[in-house]
Amino acid sequence: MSENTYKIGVYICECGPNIADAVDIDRVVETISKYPDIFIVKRHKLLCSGPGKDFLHEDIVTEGLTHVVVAACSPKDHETTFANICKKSGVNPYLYQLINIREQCAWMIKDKEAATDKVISYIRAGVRRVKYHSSLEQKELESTPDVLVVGGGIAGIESALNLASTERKVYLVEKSGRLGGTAGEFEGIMPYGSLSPEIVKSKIADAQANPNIEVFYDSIVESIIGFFGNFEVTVVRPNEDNIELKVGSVVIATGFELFDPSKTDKYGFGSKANVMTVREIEMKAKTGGVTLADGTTPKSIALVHCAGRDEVGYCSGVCCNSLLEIADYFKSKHPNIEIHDVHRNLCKTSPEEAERISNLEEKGVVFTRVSDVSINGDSSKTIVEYTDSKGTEKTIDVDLAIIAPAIIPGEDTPQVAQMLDLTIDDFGFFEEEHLMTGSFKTSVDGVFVTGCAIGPKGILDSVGQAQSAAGNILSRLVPGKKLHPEVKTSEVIESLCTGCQTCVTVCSYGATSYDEIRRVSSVNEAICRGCGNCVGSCPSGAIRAKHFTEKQLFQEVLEAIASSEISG
Amino acid sequence: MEKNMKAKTVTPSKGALIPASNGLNPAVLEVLKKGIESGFFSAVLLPVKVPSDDSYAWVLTSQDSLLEKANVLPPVMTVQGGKALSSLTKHGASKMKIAAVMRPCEIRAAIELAKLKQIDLENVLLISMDCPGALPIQNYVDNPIEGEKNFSDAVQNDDVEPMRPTCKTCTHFSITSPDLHIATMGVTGDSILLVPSSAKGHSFLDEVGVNVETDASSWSSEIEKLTEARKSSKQKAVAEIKEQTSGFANFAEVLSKCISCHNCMSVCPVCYCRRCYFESDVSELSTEQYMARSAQKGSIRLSQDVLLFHLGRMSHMTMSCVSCGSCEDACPVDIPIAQIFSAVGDDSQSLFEYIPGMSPDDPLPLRIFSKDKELCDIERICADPLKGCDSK
Repeated sequence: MSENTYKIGVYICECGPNIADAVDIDRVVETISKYPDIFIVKRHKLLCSGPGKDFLHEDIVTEGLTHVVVAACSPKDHETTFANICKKSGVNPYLYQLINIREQCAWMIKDKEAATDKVISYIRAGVRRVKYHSSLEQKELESTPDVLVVGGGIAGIESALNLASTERKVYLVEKSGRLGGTAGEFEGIMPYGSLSPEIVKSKIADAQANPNIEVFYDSIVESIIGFFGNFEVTVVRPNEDNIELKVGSVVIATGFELFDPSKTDKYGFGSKANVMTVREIEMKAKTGGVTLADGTTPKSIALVHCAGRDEVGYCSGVCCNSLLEIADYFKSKHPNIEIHDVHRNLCKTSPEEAERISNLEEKGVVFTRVSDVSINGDSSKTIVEYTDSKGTEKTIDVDLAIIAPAIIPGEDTPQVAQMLDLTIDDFGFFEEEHLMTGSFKTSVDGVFVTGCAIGPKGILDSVGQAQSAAGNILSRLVPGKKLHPEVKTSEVIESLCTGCQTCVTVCSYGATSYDEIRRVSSVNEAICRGCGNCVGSCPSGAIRAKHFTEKQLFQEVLEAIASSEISG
Repeated sequence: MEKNMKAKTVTPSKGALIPASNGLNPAVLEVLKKGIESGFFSAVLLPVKVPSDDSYAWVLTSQDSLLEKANVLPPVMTVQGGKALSSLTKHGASKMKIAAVMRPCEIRAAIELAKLKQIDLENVLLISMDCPGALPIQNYVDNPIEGEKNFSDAVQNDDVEPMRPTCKTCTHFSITSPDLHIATMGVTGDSILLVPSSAKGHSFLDEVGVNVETDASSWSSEIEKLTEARKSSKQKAVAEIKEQTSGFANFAEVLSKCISCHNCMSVCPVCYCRRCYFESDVSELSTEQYMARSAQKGSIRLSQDVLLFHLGRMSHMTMSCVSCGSCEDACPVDIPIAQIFSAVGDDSQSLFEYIPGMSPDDPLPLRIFSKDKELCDIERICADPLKGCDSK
């Protein structure tokens, strides 16, 4: 296309008073109109409104524009709005440029003249940039709606139940011979904030009965390759051939382990004291009741919090509640039992939990805040030694001490992470994409992590996360619908590639790979999210970011910093 | 951008003493011939005198007639050895074993290129020697006979004065990370000491039947002494070049005579792009734009991008620059470009405690990233304020 066939239209939005009051739009229109290659410059009160959108659409069509520049608000607000209007009006949406003159000019600069000058230079830069744009086409990809869930604990089951339908098969791979994971072991005492045992059992039964959930017991996932919409999975089954599955998405729900308190001598493991973990109490309660080594029922117990807290370096958050639950259990069975709760911190994550502490205090449970605690003793007595809040060293003699070990990453975490190229956080759990805005997502699109695999949490949170992951998959992986991968991806100019593989080391999404035979790198467009890491790091300039080419950026910057005179 | 903690190679304590009554070159060639005869390697890559007798070229050969003309330590560095080895193994490892005899800075360039996948070191036995420096190439080609004499006199008298500026201040002139190193400095009695520093090096010496049993301490202490002396002369030289180029005006002045021939880029062993950004059309402007810029600034220099070219190359090369001096040797207008790059390279490399080419196992600093440490180190921001991190 030669330059004189360009018909560039510039539309300036007043954004009500937002832009109109802070910028001399008349001067902008007057100055920009003189700029070469600009066909029309128009202003509108509110381009994002219904009438505004209609005006833009009709005007682009009537004027027969080839390129559109809109000077308005942040691209976060309306870049897509106006791109869609361009598309509807027959202009490729990548031959359009949105310029943010609201947040970056009108709202920033008090002096109206200075703000106006900045708007003019921004629009000039945008116009220069758009001249170097190329039409880009949205590609479509076939996908499979089926999902692989790794781990048959409560998070895995919940994901599977939410996802499975007649149009979507779920493959649930469990390394043990039963479903339910840790939550499935709870029967005697249920930690507060958990589902009742009956609900867990019914969820397991539902998963087993669901014809669209295929459970592989005693099986492990050997490899997962591919990308969102198209993963290929190999599952190793006992006494059977490996099975190859095609899925569109993967949910990791590989759970957790508990800190081994015998790794330190602080908790009396190794001495002859009566010390049990919360899980041991659970198991004993399930099989007839809690008794001491000599077969008698304890008359006094100490609940010792934070076993392994210092060793692992973080608070697991849910263990406090499990100890309080145990206090409730003993008080309901033996109202006269003496209970000491010895804690450094008490994690209360809901108003109900605060209330529960008050109730337990009324029932005679003694809560003591301590700074240092250890357990010693012999078969006849168990001694809890601690330093109280005043710095005094004290001891309590009890029949039984119960400790709540920290939640630590599941043993399979490194292997699963390596298989999928997921990152692991400082503590060894899977790392979420973003703590707040993507707590169940990973750096690999289409791969989700739920439950304790991503960090300590209660059953309710695990279930909620499983539902969130399922919801995300349901909304994006619709049976029969094609996927629309990112358009503004990177591409390798093979003739310039030296094969140094720097791009492979810097890609966060695993989109770049090295072709050993042709000795060049390549970008998988289905995985690439257009972040530009590879582009910036390629010393040879052999990778181009579509829509952010060096030429486009160079010309845009050059125009932005040029003098205010019309440079052409 | 993690710091490399183990950049320093450990100096081996023992070597094999080989008689060298006729000098270094015949003794080393003798050993290389044994290597070929025994089949340990099939060919040797080394500098061979060109037929016109006025320069050296890298030759891969096993022929005696060519080995006769070889000089393992020629007076000049023509093509940087790392570049020669790269052109040989860029497209994959050699299936046959070869030996490459190169100066320490050439070995270091080769190691950097291996990290950048531009050299495959599999089946390559790297042999280096204590390097007395190299003469400026222009001085040599003007009068090769005198050049040979000047070089051998300088080596005899431990005189670095006639050598190139970067050689005079070189602090990595001895063992770096080859498989085998030829020690000469501090080795007395018409001998050389073959010091193996890898399993490959050891098995080669086994193959050619020499015993590694001579104490190498007189050599290593001589190297240590010389290195200290070089460090102080380097410090002085760096201060001078920084003074000369400090500030935009001075820097621009030093580079103002650049004729944009890009020789420095072409001869640089680690400048490995297929096509330089500055030889692409990305930063070219339209005639109108040049006119407008000239009007705006009062004047513009054409062709453009002299400063940007050097700064761009500097930013690309600074982590891997081995201060080999090739760029300065190739500069037709005598810009002290190697001295500038070396001074800047030292600074940026020391930020990451990285010495390019010292160990094949040290990753390129800009390819690795440690969130906690680096945010603290570089940005002075703690990635996890609650937990804190080592450097606080």
